[in-house]
Amino acid sequence: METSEQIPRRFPLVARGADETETFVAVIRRLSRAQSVKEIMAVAAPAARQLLAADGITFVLRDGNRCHYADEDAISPLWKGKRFPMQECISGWCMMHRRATAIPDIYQDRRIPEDAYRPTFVRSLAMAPVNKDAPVGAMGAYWAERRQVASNELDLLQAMADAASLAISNAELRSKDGAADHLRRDNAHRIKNIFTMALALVNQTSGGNVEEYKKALTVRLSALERAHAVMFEAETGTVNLPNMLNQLLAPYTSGDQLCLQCETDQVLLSAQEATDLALILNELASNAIKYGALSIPEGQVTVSCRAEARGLRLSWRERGGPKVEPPSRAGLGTKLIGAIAIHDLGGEADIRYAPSGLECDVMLPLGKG
Amino acid sequence: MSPQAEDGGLRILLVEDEVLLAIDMQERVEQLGHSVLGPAGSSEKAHQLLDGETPDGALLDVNLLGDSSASVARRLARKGVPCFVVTAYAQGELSEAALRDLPNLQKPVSDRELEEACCCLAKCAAGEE
Repeated sequence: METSEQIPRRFPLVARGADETETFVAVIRRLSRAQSVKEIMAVAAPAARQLLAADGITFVLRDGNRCHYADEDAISPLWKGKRFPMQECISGWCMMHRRATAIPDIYQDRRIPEDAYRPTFVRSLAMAPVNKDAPVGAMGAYWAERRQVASNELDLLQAMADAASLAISNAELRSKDGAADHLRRDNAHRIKNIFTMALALVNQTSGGNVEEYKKALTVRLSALERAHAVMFEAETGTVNLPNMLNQLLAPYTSGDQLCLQCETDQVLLSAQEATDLALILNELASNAIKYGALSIPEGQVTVSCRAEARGLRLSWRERGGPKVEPPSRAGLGTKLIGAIAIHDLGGEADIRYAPSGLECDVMLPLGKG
Repeated sequence: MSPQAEDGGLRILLVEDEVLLAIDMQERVEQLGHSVLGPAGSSEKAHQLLDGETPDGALLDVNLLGDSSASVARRLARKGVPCFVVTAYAQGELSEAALRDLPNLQKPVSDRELEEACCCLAKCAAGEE
């Protein structure tokens, strides 16, 4: 065992030959594939310790004006998890001066805060910045004895820090690429879904002449657009139900014709659930404008909404309009309301053509997606 | 062309959770001369329908309000019922093997693609493939 008075080996790399080269090559390979800073530190620290025959290695990350001792590989604990001001530790000095340094005896160097070192085994050290041009951290090597660190050892530590720096940039770039790619795919998926919905509306819309068809289709596509607008504003998927109903019904109602009774304020809706709600409301409202309570100024619609365990209960009540009669064939609204049964929520889904006006109750799926 | 039953149509399980698309797809499948089992908007509902009857083929939407139709796909595979996944995802993007290995019908599905898919189901159901 070496004593602190022994002259340390000057050329450990040369002395130990091929083993170190192999280690270095293996480390570079692993760093080039590393996905995260955590993985990079976990690879670089033990490798540097082996290559430098050090008693400990620290991996320090710059955290604003502080040095975060993020990882270490040492014979006994150093400062892992601790943060020190840049001005008060040697890793900070390295980052600020953008160069490596060696300290043969820490108790003889003013840059060293002795108090922090006294509880540790450290007597000598070398430190190199990670990314010399714009340091993001530093790697430190520590020995338990006083030691002149050879220039090639300092070069080796710096080479390891450079490799780690490159690996960090690489990992960052890769995660950005991944995020961008994910966003791109997600967008493509959404756009396909919107076109699928729009094409289904084209297919489900019928009208006497081209003008009527165009008008009917425009109204439906606009409802689809309003649903998307509402969901876009509600980034987290939580929507304010009264606001949403107001926005969806705004094109159809003026002044006091609409009475909203929402027992639930905030609901978690997926884009699809919002679309279902918008399409159904749109059909009810456009029928009310053509044949029902909204076709005359005195007419009124009361819309109530309540979140229940299985879904969102929506009820639509028309009053004060002309006498309504069941249509000769099912329109899209009737079909949509009938098809809500695909969700098997157990709520009523029915339309009644009552003497007082149209009444509709429907249970919509809610808040699972 | 297609070797269908005497009444000329297949019984096709339709799994789709978007109400409008379910209606539209049902009508389009029926216009091709087939009948629809469902539509089912959830995997539970699809399983309930399968408890009562085994269809000749199936069209499966992938995402069902946060759930997936993979369990339905596995059950149909065990019964030897041919299926298509109907999705806006590219085939490689599907995470579950039960769905990834099935033929993929990309949304939006054109009339021609739907007709070809139904022909394909008919051939499979008749044991040609």
